[in-house]
Amino acid sequence: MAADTAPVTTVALVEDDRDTRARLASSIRAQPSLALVAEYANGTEALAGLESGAPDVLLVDLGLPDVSGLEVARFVAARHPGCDILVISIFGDEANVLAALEAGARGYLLKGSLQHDIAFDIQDIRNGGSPLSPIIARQVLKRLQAPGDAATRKPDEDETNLTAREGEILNAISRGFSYAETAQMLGISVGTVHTFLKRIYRKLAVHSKTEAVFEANRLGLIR
Amino acid sequence: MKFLACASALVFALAAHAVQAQEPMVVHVLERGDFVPWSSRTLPPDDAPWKPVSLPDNWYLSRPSGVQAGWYRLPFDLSPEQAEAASSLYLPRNSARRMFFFVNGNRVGGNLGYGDPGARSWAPPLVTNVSPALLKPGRNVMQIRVIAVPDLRQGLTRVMLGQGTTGRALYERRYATQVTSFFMFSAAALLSGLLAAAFWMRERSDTTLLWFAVTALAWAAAAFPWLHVVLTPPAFSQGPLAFAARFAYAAPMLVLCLRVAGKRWPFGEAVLWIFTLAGLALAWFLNEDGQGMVITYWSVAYLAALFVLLIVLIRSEQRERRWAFWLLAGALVLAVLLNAHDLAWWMGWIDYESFQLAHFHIPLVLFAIGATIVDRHFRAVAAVERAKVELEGRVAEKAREIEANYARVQEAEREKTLARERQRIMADMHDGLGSSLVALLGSVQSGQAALPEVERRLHDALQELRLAVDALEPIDGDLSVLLGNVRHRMRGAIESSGVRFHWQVEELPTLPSLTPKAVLAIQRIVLEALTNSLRHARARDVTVSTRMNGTSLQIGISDNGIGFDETNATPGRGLESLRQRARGLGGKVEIRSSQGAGTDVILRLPLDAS
Repeated sequence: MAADTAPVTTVALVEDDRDTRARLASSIRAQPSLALVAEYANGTEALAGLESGAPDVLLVDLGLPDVSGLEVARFVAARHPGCDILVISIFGDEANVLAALEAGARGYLLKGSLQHDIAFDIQDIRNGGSPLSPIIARQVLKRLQAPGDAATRKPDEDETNLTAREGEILNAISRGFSYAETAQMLGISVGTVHTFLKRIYRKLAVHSKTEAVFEANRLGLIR
Repeated sequence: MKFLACASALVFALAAHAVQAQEPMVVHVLERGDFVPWSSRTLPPDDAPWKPVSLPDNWYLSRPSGVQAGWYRLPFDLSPEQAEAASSLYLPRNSARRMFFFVNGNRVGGNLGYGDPGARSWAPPLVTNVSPALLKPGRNVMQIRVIAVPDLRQGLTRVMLGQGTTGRALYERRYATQVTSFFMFSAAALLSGLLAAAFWMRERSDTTLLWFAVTALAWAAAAFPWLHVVLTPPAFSQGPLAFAARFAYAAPMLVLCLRVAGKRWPFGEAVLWIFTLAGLALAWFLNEDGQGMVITYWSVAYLAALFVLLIVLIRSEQRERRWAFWLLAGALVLAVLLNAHDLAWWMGWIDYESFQLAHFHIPLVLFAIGATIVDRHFRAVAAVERAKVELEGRVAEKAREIEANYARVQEAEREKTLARERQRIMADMHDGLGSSLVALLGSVQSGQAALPEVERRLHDALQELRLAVDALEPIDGDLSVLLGNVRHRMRGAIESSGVRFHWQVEELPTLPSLTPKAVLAIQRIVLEALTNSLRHARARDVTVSTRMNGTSLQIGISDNGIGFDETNATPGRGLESLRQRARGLGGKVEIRSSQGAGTDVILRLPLDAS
């Protein structure tokens, strides 16, 4: 898909490290399809600036000095569901990425990526989320896999449990197949794969909330 | 000394009751007359040697010698009305072996139906109806023939002549106090004794229960002589039976009190038993005349023993004087007093018509000891309860200790694991990232490296680091995920290289025993082979494929690029390091390539060993 034919995507950036911020900003500016509309050096500024409105894509560093990047992601995800959030991570490791997905992020951006990768990643996220790593796909599969098979599942559990098709998609991704290959293997379109992934992300967020409620119940915080 | 006060109050109450029972509702109390020793059954003539006598007449005091017989004559005056009414004759005690009552020379009754009072420690009252036909207005005379054993304190009480049923009412009062109470106490003792015996059968170690049972049954057995009406024992056993009825309970009761006080006096107890057996034997061999002596000495001895026991108990039991102890002490004080009263009667020091009171100690001692046993039982239960709580506390403490120990062990285990992991990461850093950076630094310092080359190598180093981080993720030995992750990490490089990429990875088994170190090694091999194909082979197609071959896994990285001749391959292409890494995994790498015919790198891994 050619970047210049698509409508311009607005991007905001939250990153405390000056050099990284500058580099990311120049990467974004280098892409004609992207427009950098705001830069924030810390979480407090970001929360204030993003209260009333949000861009199409928000890049947020997880390791902010004042407010956690996850907090910013959660804040924006709750207020502006239309905003796609990418967290910035050095390693893209499972724990951080899963937490980000649960906070409402749609993917992550590796610090130190090549410039054209950033454009890819942002484009990916507009299409349905950045590519899930096989490790994370496997982890999501484990976390959302319903106990027992689909036939005995209760309908109200479907808010957090994977359907069989969703499970198949995650399984393929966890084995290293790309979205296109996955779509081909399952006889569906790439767009459908993206749709399924969006649904899976939502389930993950809901799951994390119910798990939090469960935890809180267990600890006696909620009566 | 609250109990002494209570005890004396009780004695006074009993005394008051006894006085009230003798309230004179009688027309005539015959207490003066004449007596003549006379063995004949027929009334002695007026010229017999009658001597004036006053009643009560205790022969032990007035004529102490062997068995005797004699006649009383007691005159009394009646008005014409009194002479026409039915009367009754009442005696507080059946006080002699034989008594025959005559009014104006006519036989009106006797004591035959009551058996021999000699076998008993006390005597019931007597009552006899007197027909008005035998009475006359003016002077009447009552004659009583008496055969008595002075040594057993026999003789004659005052005789009361009452109008109508007056005498019977007096008789019933005295009977209730003297006899019915005794039956009640005996029955209670019998039940308690059987109950205690039953408990003792269950709990043989508790000798207090045993002695309680023996004492209570001995008290109950004292009622036996009262069954004479239906059962007259053979003559030879009457002495021992009388002794047993009187004293059988004494020795067990003394031992019981010792046990309740938690004491054992083997010598004293032996003396007690020998003394008791001696008394029984003497009672067997001595005739009636000797019985009195036995009763005197043994009564005094037992009373003294009881008294001594009481003193010892009160003086020795210094610690922990609970209410049950005072109850027992009070009951024993009363027992001493009651027995002293009866002894005083026996010695002739108090009124001959006094009640016999010794048996009233039965319910008191029974109750006190029962209470002691119950108290002890509940204290034991409470102690068990306390012990249980304490034990639970100790168990909980032990559990905490064990938990703490376990936590310590776990902590140590964790520390060890951490240390091992740290060591491994250090080694990884040294081999991978460290050496990459050192090489890069070298080329930057020597000025050989161009900027794009530096960037590329830095990128590789970061990739290396990411793989190392990925190797720490818990993938539970899932080989598919492992391979998928390499592709994911190389996504940028694959896409920018422009090759057609073929991913032919089957569903692979999971190997839970796969260590992070092995994961990293496999990833590095695949990464390196793939990087070579992408960077140097100038290939149009690159294929990653897997195949299960029995117990070994085969991972192939193939391209259709320029290939190389293995014999003249430069070491810089890292083929040797591929082989080394494969060996470290227990597998091997096969590299097939020739000029212009592409390259196949095949990694074979034994699945059971990795």
